[in-house]
Amino acid sequence: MFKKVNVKILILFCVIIGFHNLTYSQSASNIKGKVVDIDSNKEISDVTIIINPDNTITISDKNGNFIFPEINKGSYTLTFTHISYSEKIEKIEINENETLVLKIYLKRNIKNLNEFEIIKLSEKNNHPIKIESISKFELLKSPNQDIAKTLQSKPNISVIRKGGTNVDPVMRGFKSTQLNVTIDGGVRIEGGCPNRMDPAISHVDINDVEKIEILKGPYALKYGTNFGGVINIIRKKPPNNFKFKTAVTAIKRFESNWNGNKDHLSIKGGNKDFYFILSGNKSKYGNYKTGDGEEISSELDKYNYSTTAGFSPFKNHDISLSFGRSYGRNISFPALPMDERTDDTKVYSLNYSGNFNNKTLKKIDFKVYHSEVDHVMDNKNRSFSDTVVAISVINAKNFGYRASTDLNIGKGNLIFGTDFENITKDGDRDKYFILQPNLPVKNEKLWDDAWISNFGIFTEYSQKFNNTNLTFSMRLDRNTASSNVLELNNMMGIPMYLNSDVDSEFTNFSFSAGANQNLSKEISVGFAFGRGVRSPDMTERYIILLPIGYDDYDYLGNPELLPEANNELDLELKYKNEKRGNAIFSTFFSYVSDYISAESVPPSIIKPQTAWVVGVKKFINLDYVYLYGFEFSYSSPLINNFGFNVNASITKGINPSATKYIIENNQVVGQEVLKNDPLQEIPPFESNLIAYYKFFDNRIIPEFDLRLVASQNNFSEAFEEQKTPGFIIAGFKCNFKYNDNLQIITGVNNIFDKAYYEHLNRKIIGSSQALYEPGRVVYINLVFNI
Amino acid sequence: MSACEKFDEEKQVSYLISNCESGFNVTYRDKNRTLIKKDISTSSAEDNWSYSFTCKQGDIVYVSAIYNDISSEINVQILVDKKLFKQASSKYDTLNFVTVSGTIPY
Repeated sequence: MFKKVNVKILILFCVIIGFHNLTYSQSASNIKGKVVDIDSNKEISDVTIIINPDNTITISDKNGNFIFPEINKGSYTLTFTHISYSEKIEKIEINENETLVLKIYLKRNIKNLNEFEIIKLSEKNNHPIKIESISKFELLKSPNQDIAKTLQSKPNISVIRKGGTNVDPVMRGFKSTQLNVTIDGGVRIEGGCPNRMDPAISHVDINDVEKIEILKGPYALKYGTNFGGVINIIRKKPPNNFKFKTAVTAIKRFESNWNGNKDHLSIKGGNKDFYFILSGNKSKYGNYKTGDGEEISSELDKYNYSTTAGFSPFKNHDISLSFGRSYGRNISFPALPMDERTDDTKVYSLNYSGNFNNKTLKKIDFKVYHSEVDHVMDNKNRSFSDTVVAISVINAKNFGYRASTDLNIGKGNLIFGTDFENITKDGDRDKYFILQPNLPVKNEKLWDDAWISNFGIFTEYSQKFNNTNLTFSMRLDRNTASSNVLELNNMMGIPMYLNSDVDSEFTNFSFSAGANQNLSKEISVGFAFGRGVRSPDMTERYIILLPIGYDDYDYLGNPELLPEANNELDLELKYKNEKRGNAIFSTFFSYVSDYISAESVPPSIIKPQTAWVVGVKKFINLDYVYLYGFEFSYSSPLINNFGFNVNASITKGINPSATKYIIENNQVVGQEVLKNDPLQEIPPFESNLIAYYKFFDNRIIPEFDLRLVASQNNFSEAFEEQKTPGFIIAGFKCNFKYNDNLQIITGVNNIFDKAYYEHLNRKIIGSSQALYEPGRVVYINLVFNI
Repeated sequence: MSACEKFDEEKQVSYLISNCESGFNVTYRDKNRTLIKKDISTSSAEDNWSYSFTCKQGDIVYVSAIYNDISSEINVQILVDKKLFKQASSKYDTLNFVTVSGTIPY
């Protein structure tokens, strides 16, 4: 026994020594220096110095001194920037074990002061694979005004369309609550509609967004439970100017085809002590026509206003309060049994951010929020409302907080924190039998005071070892849920279905580890492995009979569901060359255990409540499914003002043992087992090309885009999917910056007026015809800045 | 839930029952969305019954009637902004209600 213990200690000792040597045995060169004013020769503090290709940043101290320790030998570019000085770039070479001492002279450039503003974004991410992002400039140029639709420009992201707006993102085959959609890194919204006609992402207007971050895989665990990836929508923040200053932005957008009008007005201002932003948007769109001239009911009327105000009680400490309200009116969803009649959403948040910048404590962030959605929908524009008018009223609330601390631990960075989320949901459906004597009305619960609470603690540690960045993260969630008894009565009040076993509690452990290593100046590799665990959501646990799937079934919640776990492996290869361009290839494999799916329930147990469905499906856990795929993207260098970007991606998902139900005369009459049936709602292979040319010092940039989508032959038979034809569509846009006050973006989407639909588009309700995409759309965005 | 929201356009709705000389029982949904039942007496087929109110798009309108005299007949109509929205009629049938209903179109 003693010997065994000793052997273990010896092995552990060797590992530690080996690890230590790995860390510190590399040669160590240093770059240090001083930054001074070229005229006065005075030292300049707070100069930002970026060293590339390492992309490491340091800031000069009060004596103008800076240092980059432990640099490998080689050629580097140093960029010096300061608010009051012109930028300076220095190219240097350093040998092994050399300490290079520099003296850098900067020329004063006061006029930059007026242009300078700090926009506080989310904390720095140490994600083991590439974080993709969409900036406000890209959003402004986007041919689509739906936030989720703009995500489609990124590889392996698609959307589920059910109407003209509020599309729902799908990333690497993961969708709905398998994705963590968060606002400002911590605020959440629980949509009202069980059919996700108002997913969380639809409650934010595109013109209020500063940036969208996309973190694929179950690796970023600090934003809450993460199963398949994070979409972090960062809203525009008030500026911190040195002197009080205000700015006004007005945007007018028009889209042909569906006579779409969209207006935006925002006013922001402040100084280093106080700041604010006020913003409002209004959108009104009609029905659109497809490429073959068919009119699709897609009208929408949305408006919202929001404000954020904050102050800095001390330098580097900020407290802000945000409030927003958004409204949707008469929004058509031809692929759903109901349309949105009204949607009133409130979002409040209180934020604190403190930058300490001392030896150990870097930053503390705290955020508390409350969101509430009042959602009303009905079937009054459906043909079956001639006999039964159904009106659903749903209230969904979400309350939570997130607190995190950012520390310097040794040579690494440690983030730890806690978050909490409490979702409550209650909803009714009233059915008016309008052709029957005395107008009988049946009330059914969709959710009956259901709630889910999730308390989590998380930590993330990252450290750089020479050419290697390592990131580890862990997360522990305690998830509890309950509801009133799941009950469905007939017209006489007699129970047709009763389930009183509604409580569930889970403790979920998630973790991830990843590494990035620079193999050379141009090539780097990344590797990540993670396990993200997600407890069942409100719909999967407690929905009481609604047709919410792609197939024609009423769905029934299952409070006994287990959490599903995504065990994912990612590999990434990056190539970066100033002359040849940048390329990234990444591939992933996900093994999902206890995958949440659904199986048919015999009518002897429960009968469907929707006229046109064939039966009832109840949510269940499958043993496992797996998904895999790749993404490739390439950005060319700018040669003679011409450049292009191309990407390609595919995801495949497999259910090793799926059940297909045999339907005859609109009833389930049998079933068969399918081996290796593709998972439902997985998009096919897709490739995008964007080519652009920069005229007149970037003031005019025409851009041509081509989108190629292959036919989807891998469709789920178990979920009654069908083959989808491939298509190619082309678009064109031109960005014209007249001056600092006026910018015009105009373009054409679907130039050749192609009639097509995506594999993920739902079917028009009551038919087998897919919902087609809009035909040709000419759009113009006028942007005024004062 | 209120089907009549302020963003929806107001409509003038009329229920009209005609051509029934024997009297009838009527059930209708009024402006407060309450179901009202009334016995109506008529002395000739020219005696019409009507009820008018304002409503908004999306509201449910409902009127249903039955008569007692097997030799009688009835015509039930819903008018929206003085235009015929829906109608139904019955002759020599005292067993079945004549029901006209729907939602005011958006």
